Amino acid sequence: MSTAESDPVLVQNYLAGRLSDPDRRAFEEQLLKDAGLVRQLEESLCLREGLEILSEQKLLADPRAPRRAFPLRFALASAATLAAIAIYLGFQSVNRSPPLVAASVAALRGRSGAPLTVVEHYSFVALREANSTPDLALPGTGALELRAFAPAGVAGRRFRVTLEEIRNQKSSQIGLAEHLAPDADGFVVIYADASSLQPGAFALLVAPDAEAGTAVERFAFRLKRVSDAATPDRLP
Amino acid sequence: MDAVEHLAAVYRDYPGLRALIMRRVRDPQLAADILQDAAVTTLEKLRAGQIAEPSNIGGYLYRVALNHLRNHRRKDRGPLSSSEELDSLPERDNEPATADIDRARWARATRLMLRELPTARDRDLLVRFYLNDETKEDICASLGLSDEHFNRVIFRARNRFRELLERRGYGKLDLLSLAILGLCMGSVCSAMAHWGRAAT
Repeated sequence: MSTAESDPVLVQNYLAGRLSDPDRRAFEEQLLKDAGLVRQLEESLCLREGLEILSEQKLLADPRAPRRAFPLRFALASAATLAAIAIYLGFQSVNRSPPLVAASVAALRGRSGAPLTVVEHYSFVALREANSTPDLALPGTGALELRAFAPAGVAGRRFRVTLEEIRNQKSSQIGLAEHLAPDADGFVVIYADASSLQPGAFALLVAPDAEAGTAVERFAFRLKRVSDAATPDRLP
Repeated sequence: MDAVEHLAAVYRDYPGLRALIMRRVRDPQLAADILQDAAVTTLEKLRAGQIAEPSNIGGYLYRVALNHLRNHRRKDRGPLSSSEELDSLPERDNEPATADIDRARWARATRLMLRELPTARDRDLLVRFYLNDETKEDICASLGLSDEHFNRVIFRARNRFRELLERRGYGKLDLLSLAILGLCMGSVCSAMAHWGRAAT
């Protein structure tokens, strides 16, 4: 007897008990030698069981009928599509959101995409007798130039300047510029987009680049709308 | 291989046989007894060196199990081959869960395969041949099919069914969707972090 690989009818006849005793014994002898025949039997029985299940579920009449369960593949594809749309919109929004703080005013863009011009200049120097927090004018548009005197004794170094916003006594970093070289007067300069800032308390932190634990100069200030602010102190 | 390992292998490697016995006797406990009995008999023959091709013990298992099934259906099922060894076999508490997974896979593959058949007549052919146990001759006569057509439908259906069963786990589209989803979610998180910093 040849293997039933080419004769699934023989396999079905065996399973259905339609073979004569000599044919059944011959088939079973072949079964002992032929692993492929065993696999084919298994396959036939799996297919049969699949049909039994579909029959129980009344799906045999029209296997094209929609499944009751929400297909996982469709759910995944939908989720991926939604996520793709979300990220597209996100990138659009990010692209429309220029940096709040930059080392160069040219890097700042208004909401229309036009470059900003500096409308206010503020310089920060640590004074031994200073004990109050200055109020500074916050214009509605344009760039603020924030100059901070670099810590003494670190000549030749570069610095990072962090702008923190203070709300409910909690500080959160809202801008950072790194690798800044002091100008001829010893100031490091950053620029902030005024339209992205809200009135309130802020702090400018100046520290040498990539040196954890080094002294940080901290300059606290408040920003107020131009109409609310007292006479701006251009040199706090 | 001890008896427990052997029985575990039988349950793992011959789920179709298990399903057939279950369908025929319609009693889970009796079906388990028949399969365990066949497994023990096969193991005893294997240990006694009475299986000519030990690499193909599945054939022997099939033969014994189907003989037990026939005996049962004739109402003259004999005693277990080795009640002592059978008593040592553990209860297979996890068997129904794995069986359900297998059956769900088969049903899905069968359904997909049937959906791909071009005509209702071909679907009818498969149902009558594999499920209703009708003979090839009866089916061909009833549906007006040639031998060649019958063989072609069976051959293609089996191949497709095999392909679908072998396509385990998620399909390529599913994996692609997952990858896109992962990338997108990562990017969304990055964007949100950016917004958090930039927001005032």
